[in-house]
Amino acid sequence: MNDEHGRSTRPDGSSPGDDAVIGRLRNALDELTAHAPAHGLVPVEPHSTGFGPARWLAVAAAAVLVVGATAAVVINRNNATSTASTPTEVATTQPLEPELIRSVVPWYVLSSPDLVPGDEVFEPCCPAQPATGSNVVMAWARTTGTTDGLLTMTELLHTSGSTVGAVGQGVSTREVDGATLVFASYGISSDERESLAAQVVTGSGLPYVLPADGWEFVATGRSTDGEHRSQTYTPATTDPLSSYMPTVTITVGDYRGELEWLTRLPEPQQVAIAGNDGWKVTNDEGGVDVVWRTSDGSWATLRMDAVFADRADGLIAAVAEITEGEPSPVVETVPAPDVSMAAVDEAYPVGIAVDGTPLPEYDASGSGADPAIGLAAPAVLGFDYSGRRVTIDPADGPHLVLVEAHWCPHCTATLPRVVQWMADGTIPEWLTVTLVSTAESPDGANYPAVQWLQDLGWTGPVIRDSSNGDGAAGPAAEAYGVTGLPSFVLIGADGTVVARLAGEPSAQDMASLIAALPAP
Amino acid sequence: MHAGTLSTHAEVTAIATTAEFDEFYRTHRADAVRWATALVGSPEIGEELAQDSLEAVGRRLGSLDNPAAYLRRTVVNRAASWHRWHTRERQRIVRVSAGQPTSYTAATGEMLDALTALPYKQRAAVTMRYWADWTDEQIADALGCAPTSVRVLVHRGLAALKKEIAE
Repeated sequence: MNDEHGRSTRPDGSSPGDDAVIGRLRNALDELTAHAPAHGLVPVEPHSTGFGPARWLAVAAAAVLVVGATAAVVINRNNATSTASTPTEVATTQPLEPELIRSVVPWYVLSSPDLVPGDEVFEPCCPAQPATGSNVVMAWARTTGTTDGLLTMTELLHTSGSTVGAVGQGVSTREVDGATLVFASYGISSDERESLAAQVVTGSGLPYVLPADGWEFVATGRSTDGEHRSQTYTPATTDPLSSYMPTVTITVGDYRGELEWLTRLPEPQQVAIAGNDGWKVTNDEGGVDVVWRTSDGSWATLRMDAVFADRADGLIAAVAEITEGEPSPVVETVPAPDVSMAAVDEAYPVGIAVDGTPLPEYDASGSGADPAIGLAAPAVLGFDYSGRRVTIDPADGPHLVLVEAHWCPHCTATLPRVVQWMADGTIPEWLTVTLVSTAESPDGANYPAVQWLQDLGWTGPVIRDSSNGDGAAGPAAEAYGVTGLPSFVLIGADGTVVARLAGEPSAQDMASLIAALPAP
Repeated sequence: MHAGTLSTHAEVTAIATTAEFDEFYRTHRADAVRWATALVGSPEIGEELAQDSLEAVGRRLGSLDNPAAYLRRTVVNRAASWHRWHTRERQRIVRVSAGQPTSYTAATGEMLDALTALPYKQRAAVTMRYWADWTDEQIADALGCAPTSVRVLVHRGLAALKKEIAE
């Protein structure tokens, strides 16, 4: 059979031209998986620090002991045998460690109607990371309470080959033998932080000690070791064409990396969460992290991706502590989106729907006439950043489509001018203007795009193009034949393309563009 | 034979017998390790993820209508979780760069690098479709999306792989 371009395709969607890459894929994965241990069960060496896989396995073993089943997997990861064992052997080979209980309770739930919880996961932090290079992190608080002042410290070892990255503003550093100590603080002045940092000395039991009056040690650990219990919440409905899955995650455990976050992200805000005092920071990805100390001395985190940043306070309020074995409490929940994403997704099962023939690619060189002019513009349906449906329908009358990307400097330069032209009449009121936010990339400048749009003053309708997160244009941009950013597509009252433009237009360029469009 | 109950959050879930779990484990372990290894690109991490997934399935074995499908979903989800944590931690933590030589052929190394560059859902869709021979419906179930979306993911993934390999 042939696809819409006349190419031969198979039922699985591949074409003969794909055979070579599929063959290489199979060979590569065969070779990769051939490196997997051939025997059935693999022993795991106990971890010398007590924070690693051995403790994780003990958690699993404890669960197995309760369950009375599934013993074969866990036991054999600690014994170099290839035979299944009985639950009785678990009790003798993996006694419970009292500290493990601490990482189990208390536990928290997030009640939000548009977010669904995934499985609870008990896992060691960062299993793929090397044990070497882990950083010791410590925290001290005023004896009058952690909300009244907090000092955190990260020890960055001068390991051969390692580098110490930027430590951010609002921190103090001290060089000690073989390491750099990085101090951050909350609720105290920079002078006091400097004074406290100077008093920290090597301890005989703890890695470091702060012998200052009025301050008490509250926590230590390694930033890359430990174990935790976590649960990730994801939207009840998602864009199936996008590989990006926004998440909110609750974590409780003895992993102390969250203290390092505080160190690296100055100026945390004090918040109340589930009856505890905590700190809220905006992380370097535009998301929001909340860290709090639980009633039993463990540390908990609520981590939300950037798309949830504008409702962070609502989500924080929706977190509640629960007791194992008891029903979850009724929690004041955040409002659901004003449009049911489930209903919209049912009607439009993909994030971006294109009705009509995509326009030919725009030739930015300007050589020859634009072949798209006079063609019927496709209708594009998508959603904005609040989940509301947005449509660019040529049947609705004249339309100016802006295609922009947050990381594109020309877009950043152009968008405020467009806002101005809409205000001063260069772009007339009767002309509907819709922005297509395409090619999102978490690694790009000005991410997240929704914040970038707000910062530049864009208040008009937005279609969030599907994105792989790699900075490539999505299907909405492709529907307009976009080859450069920013791009402008002018659609006339008859639904055909009047003009296309790419780059940074001047006010005169925009006026000339619109002059080609008869006023209604 | 041994049977019992596991209480979590006031919910009582039936569990399978040890013998049933042993049989499930023996039957599915090799596949689980292979899938997880292909999804994360590391035999060692794949082994860990597979073990954890099998244990998770084992806890619910007695209450599952289709344990094999649940295992597929669990492996794919845990590999996704690993990718998420791995990326985040790599961005956050200053660490020693450990250059680890590999014993793979150049062609395999190139393909594994190309797979690494793919968004996770594309990687999972392409890998499971063309290497593990899962159906679109099985992949859709594991990824939590529609079968039509799987075909889009596969198409985009293949195109990206071809581009990566050609460059």
